[in-house]
This record gives sequence, structure tokens and C-alpha cells, in this order.
Amino acid sequence: MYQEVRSGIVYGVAGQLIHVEVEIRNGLPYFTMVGYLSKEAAEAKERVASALRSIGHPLPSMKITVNLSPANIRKSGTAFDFPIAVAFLACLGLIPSKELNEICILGELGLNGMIRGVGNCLPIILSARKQGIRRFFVAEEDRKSLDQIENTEIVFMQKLEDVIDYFQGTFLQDSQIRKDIWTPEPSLENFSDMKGQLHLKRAIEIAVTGKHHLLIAGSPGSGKTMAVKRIPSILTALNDEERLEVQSIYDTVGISRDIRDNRRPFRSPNASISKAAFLGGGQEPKAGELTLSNFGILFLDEMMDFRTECLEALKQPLEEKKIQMNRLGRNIIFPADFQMISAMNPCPCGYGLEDGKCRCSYHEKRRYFKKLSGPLLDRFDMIVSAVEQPEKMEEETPETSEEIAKRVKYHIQKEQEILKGTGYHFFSEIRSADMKKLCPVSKECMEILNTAYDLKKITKRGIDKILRLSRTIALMNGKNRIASQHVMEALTFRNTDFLNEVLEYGR
Amino acid sequence: MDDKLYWFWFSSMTGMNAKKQHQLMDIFYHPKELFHISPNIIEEKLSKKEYGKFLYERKKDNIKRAYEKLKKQQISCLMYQEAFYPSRLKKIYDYPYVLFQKGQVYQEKFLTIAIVGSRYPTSYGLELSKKFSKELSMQGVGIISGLAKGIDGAAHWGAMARTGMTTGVLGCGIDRIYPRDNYQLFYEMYENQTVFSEYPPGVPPHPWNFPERNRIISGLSDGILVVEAEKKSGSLITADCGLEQNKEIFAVPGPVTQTKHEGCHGLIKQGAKLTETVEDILSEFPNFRKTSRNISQFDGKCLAVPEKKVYDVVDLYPKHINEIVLQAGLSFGKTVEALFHLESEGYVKQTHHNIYIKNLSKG
Repeated sequence: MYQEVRSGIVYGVAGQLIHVEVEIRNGLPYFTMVGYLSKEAAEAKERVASALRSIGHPLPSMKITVNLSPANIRKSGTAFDFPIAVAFLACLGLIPSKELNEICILGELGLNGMIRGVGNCLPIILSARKQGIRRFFVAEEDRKSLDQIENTEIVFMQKLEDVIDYFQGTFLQDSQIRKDIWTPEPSLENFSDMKGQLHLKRAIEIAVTGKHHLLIAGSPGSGKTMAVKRIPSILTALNDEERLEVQSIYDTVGISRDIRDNRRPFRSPNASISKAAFLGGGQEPKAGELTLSNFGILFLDEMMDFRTECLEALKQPLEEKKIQMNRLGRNIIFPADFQMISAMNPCPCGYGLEDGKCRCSYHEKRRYFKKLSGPLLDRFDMIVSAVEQPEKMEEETPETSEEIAKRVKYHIQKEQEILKGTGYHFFSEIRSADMKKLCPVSKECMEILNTAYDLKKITKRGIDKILRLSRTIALMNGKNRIASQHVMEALTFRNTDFLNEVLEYGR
Repeated sequence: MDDKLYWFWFSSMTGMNAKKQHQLMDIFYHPKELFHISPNIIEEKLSKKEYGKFLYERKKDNIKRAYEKLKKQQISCLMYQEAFYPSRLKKIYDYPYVLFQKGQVYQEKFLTIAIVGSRYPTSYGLELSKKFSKELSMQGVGIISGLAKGIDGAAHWGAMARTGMTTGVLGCGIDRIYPRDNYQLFYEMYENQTVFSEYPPGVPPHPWNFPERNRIISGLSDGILVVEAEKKSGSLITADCGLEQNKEIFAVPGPVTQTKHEGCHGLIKQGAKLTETVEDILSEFPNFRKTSRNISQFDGKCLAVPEKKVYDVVDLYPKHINEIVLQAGLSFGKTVEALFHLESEGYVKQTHHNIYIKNLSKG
């Protein structure tokens, strides 16, 4: 007798389908499991035997072989107990074997036949769905970590008998995912607490609207971190697909996150982070901070304190929105579609932007900026400086986050309408080849750019960057074409020559 | 042995400071006598350390070798009797007997002004010292300064911007580049200007060298302009030396609220001349050719309205774009636009990313 069912494991950040094969034949009673198993997976033997006995269908005294295929991937985790038991039940003729081919089964067994949760079903279900599997048997315990997924039927089971009941049609199915509505904790940070720093706030709004990578250079106490901490309060919500992808990444790493949480991830790793934790990796590849901030924001506070290898490793993900890695002869792709926002001091002492306060020598500054290589600096679309403001100047009342968030949402919607059918989602993603079509420039604007070029404010390469930024600004000002004032505003965020300005001044 | 070698040995190899050298010369008249004197006579005149060094360095071969080395390093050695020795310097009572020189031959100008100030200045000080030295050198005035960071450097650069004459005086060995940050300035000075030091090659920048150096700066000049001196500043020592040497003292005022200018204000209270324009300096030297150039600040009358508003807000003290927006009372977009036009026409400039100051050289 032979039976095959599907199960899955997590590899990297995606699921991998596993075929569970069971063969029972005449011979000396013997139970063997093969297929590159980890310790906990090999122990399934004892759990399955006990669980089957407890429901009154003990294993026959025959020669039994269980194989988990593909046999060259190491299988860890305990999600195989349930599928193996189901395969046995089919071999024993208690379940119609034909239907099992299209079902993916995930769960751990207790000795008494209870089905326990495995905690990371979502990534497996998502990738199984891509391969055409529509029905899943999952432990009742995992109900919390799952959500309604389009075109799939998820059956939650409590004990092993439920499978038999299911195929006999007597199982009372409760496919309703959940009844309670999730409300996020109210965030404590709001832009209304932030007085002044108009330029910085404007920069943040532009960056969020057009998904431009932003670098903030400022003196200590100028409110860099304060402003960035408030960014989550103005971000748009994740859509369902993004939300599930984010959730599945978090599940694979083992960070708890409510599946109903539709806020964008906002990660701010500490500067002492290692390269493996930053980028992802390890012998059994795990996602790093870059992947955890997928669809969200990666905030590098005190960017110059990060290791050089971490900063250099940012280049590929920023360009391609994914990280490609090679571990044990297999290619792994981690998604990394994040927006980078960094904050740094302009010099080692921190007061480089303030008049006459900086006591750093040229060489100290040079050493400090060694990490900030040209290509990395080039990845930032916007650079904004922040200095502490004299107290007397106060805006009437600063805008609240809710007002800004509403505006950002409206503008992003519009942006996506404009870019519909081009394959882009944000203006910052437009490639140079499509610039002419999507960001047409008037003669007037070209003149301004030429003047700026003559003043050495931009390079020829930087022009496209400025234009993309101008396009976002034009959108935010409610215009469909780039006008001269948009270009001039974009020029205040330029990134060319930033280092030279900091270094050469006061020689 | 050559006469010059004796002087070279005496003033640079014995390690005595200028004061001590003058005391000894009052007794011995010429280092040749000192060289041939028996050690027990000189012993009581010198400290133990000086005496040890004196005996150790009293070897003709050593002296010759050291002197040859100077030649290789393109350092010239000026004795006070020589024609190239700055004549103004000879008038101070503790002038150095030997002055080391690197770069070009020193040209005596009819009028020389020293510009000194803080090593960590604000943009206000930097811009002003650059402006003063540029305008003075355009009038043919020589600029003396100390090749230090901040005001000193700006003064040298300002003078060189108009290919004027400028001279730097070091507080360390003549072959050294100190502070390291100024290496570019040093090389340009070697190329076109003069660098002096009373210290032979290899002397490190000891803190006590600098007050001694300051007496040479003031000695080489007719007037001393102090820009941005704090309460306890080395520039005040230069000013004091200048007073002792009967030089004119000028000081540029700043806001009374800033401690950065306390030293200058102190000088003004004691009678230094408050200096706003180059004219203030030149008028103290009636023998110097009268000039009619009126140095007035650009008043921006020909600018359009938003630009004018923004220009009025921008100052010599750097202001961040936030501050400018608020003070000009214009919208963000308008302000940025005005700033862009002002910058492209050269009325303002950015010291850093989005931090603006007025550009003095326009107008």
C-alpha cells in the first residue's frame, strides 16, 4: 500500500512543499523514516504511532517506510506528524486516498491524538497556493496566525479523528477566521508635537509620498530622530496581499505580529548589528532587517556608526529590491522592497552645521565620512539638513499626523493612477529610459537645471534624480507638469557635493 | 668657519630662546667668541640643560652638516645683518638673530597689516577676514598672519585670491606643516608667498612657541587687525605685543551677545580702533596713498520684492532655510525660488547644505 500527501517547511522566507510518502508492505515489523531529517522530524515516528493507537487504529505489524521528498533538503520542524498520520489512515483505508493529493496538511501530534499548531503556516500556505493547492488542514491552534486567504479553503482541526469525520461528512466546519475586529494601539507619537523644522517635515512628506530614500544630516538635538519616529503615523496602510507577505516574513523569523496589523513595518536596528542579522543569512537562512522592513521603512539612526560591511551591503537591495544569497548550494531570494531613511551627524563632534561650534579637523571628518561611499550616497534621492532652531520662532500650530496622513494617502492614490500600466508604483522608481515619457520637462525647467549645473549644484547624473523628485513635488502641489518652482524646491534636497560642503568649509 | 655658520649655530642649535640669546650677545658681541670660549666661563650663564646642549652641539662638522641640510630642503637662513632680513623686525627689542624662510623672497611693502583671530571662527569672522585681506591686498598692503586654522587661514586665502602679498609666520620648525588641515595653504604659500619661522627645522609646535611667534607677526606689521577673538585668545597676545612695539591695533566688533567677540570688544574698550571698513584702517596711515574707493555694502535696491525680502533676512551669520522662511514671512516655495535666484546671481551663498549667508564679494 502506498500513499502520498503534501506538507511543507519554511526555507528562507518562503514555503517549500514536501511530499510525504508512506509505504506499508509485508515483511518483518519495522518502521523507518528517511529523507534528510532533523532530530525533531525523525521523532515523528513515536508520536504518530501513539496518536494512531489512541484513536483506535494502531499501526499494522508490517514493514513501514516513510519518505519525505525532495530528499536533499534538510527537514526541520514538527509539521510532518499530522500528514504522516493522515497518510497512514489512508493506507488503512479509512480515508479516500484520491482526494489527498490536492490537500496540504500541517500540524504536530500529541500522543493522545491532539493536533498542535506549528506557528508558521502562513508562508507555506502562500507558496502552496502559488503551486495550485487550494485546501489546507491546519491545527486549531494556528487559527490566530491565519487570515482569510483568497481562493483557499483552510480547515481547522483539533484532533486526529476530525480528519475521518471530515471525509465522512460529519465534521462541523468552522471556517470563519475570526470575529473580533482589530484596533491598533493608538500611537503616542504625533507630528503635532513637533514645532518648527518645516523643511524637514516637508522633506519627510515628499519622501513618503514618492518613496524617495532620505538622508537627514543634523546637529544633535535638532529633532532628526524625533521626526523620523513620527513617520509611522503618516504612512498608508498595507493592502491585503502586502499584509500577508509581511506577516509570512515575520512568521518565518519568529517575531510575533498580529496578522490583522495593517501598519507598514518600521524597523530601526541598532548600529551595532552584524552583517548576517542586517542582510539575512546563517546556515539555515533567516531573513534580516532589510527583509523585515519589506513594504515598510528601514530607519538607520546614526548611520555612520553602522559597520562598513552593512552599509556597503545596502547597495544591491536598494537597486533590485531583493537580496540574492547562496547557501549550501542553493539560491535564496529575500524580498527587500523597503524605503531607507537615515540620520547622521554632519561630523564627529556633531556640530558641523552650526557656525563656529565645530572643532573637528579636516582629517577627522575625512575619516568619519570614509564609510559613506559615493555609490551609497548616490542611492539617496534626498538629503536634508537640520539644525537646532532658536526657540522664539514658532509656527502657529503644527499640523497633526492625521492631517498629513490624509494628504499622503490621497497623493499616493493619485500617483498610482498616473503610473497605472507602466509597472511602476512610485515616481522614484522611474528608470531613465522612461523619464521623457513620464516626466516631461519644459524649457524653463531645463534652464534652471543648467544654471544649477553651472553653479556645480548638480551633476549630469543627478538631473534625473532631481526631476523624479520634482515630479513628486508637482503632484503634491496638485500640478500635472513639472514647473520651475518644483525644480527649485527639489534642488534644496539635492545630494550632490554634500560631502565636499561638509569637508571643505572653513579651510 | 664662516661668520654665518656661527650665527646659525648660536641661534638655532643651542636651543636658547631669543631673550636668552640677546642676554648673551650683550656680553659676548659675537657667537664666534662664545664658540671658542672655555666651558667653565659659560657654565654659570646657562641652565644645566642648555649647557649640556651647548657642549654637545659645539662641533664644526655637525654645524656644517646641519647647514647643508637646510640648503637641500630649500630653506634659506636670514641673518639680521643681511639685506633680505625684514627691516621692521629689527626694530623690536628681542628680534631673532636668524630667521628661516621658505617660499619666495620677502618683499617689503610700504604698509603691512597683520590679521589675526580665532582658530574656530563663525562664518561672520571668516567672511570678514577674507574680505578685509582681499581688499587690503588690492590696495597693495601686505598681509601678515600665522598660518593657523580659521581666521589666519582665511586671511591668507583672501590675500592670495587677488595675488596680493602675504606672509605667514610659524610657531614650529620651518619644515613642518602645522596644522595639518592647512596643507593646501602651505603649498600655495611656498609657491607664491613667504613663510617665516625663527625655529630651525624639526622643532615641534610647542604651546610656548606661539606667544613668541606672535611677537614676530606684530613685529612684521604696521597695524594689527583682530577679528573675532574670545576672552582668552592668542590673538590678544599678538595685540599686546603690538602695543609694546608701538603698532596700531584694530578690532572688528561683533554682537555683544556672543562670547566669541569678547576679546575684540575688550580691545576696543582699551582704545583699539573699531573697524568696519578698510577705510578705517587706511586712514590711520596718512602717508599711505589716499584712496577714494568707497566700500559700501550692497543694498539690494535692484532686486524684485520677494528676493529683497529674503536678501534682507540672510545675514553673515549662517541661517538655515527654516529660519529664512519664517523670518521672511513668505511661503516655502517662494522663499526657495528667491534663494535660488539670489544664489545664481551670487548675492548669497550656501556654507552648507541649505544653510545660507550673504556673499560679501558681490556688491
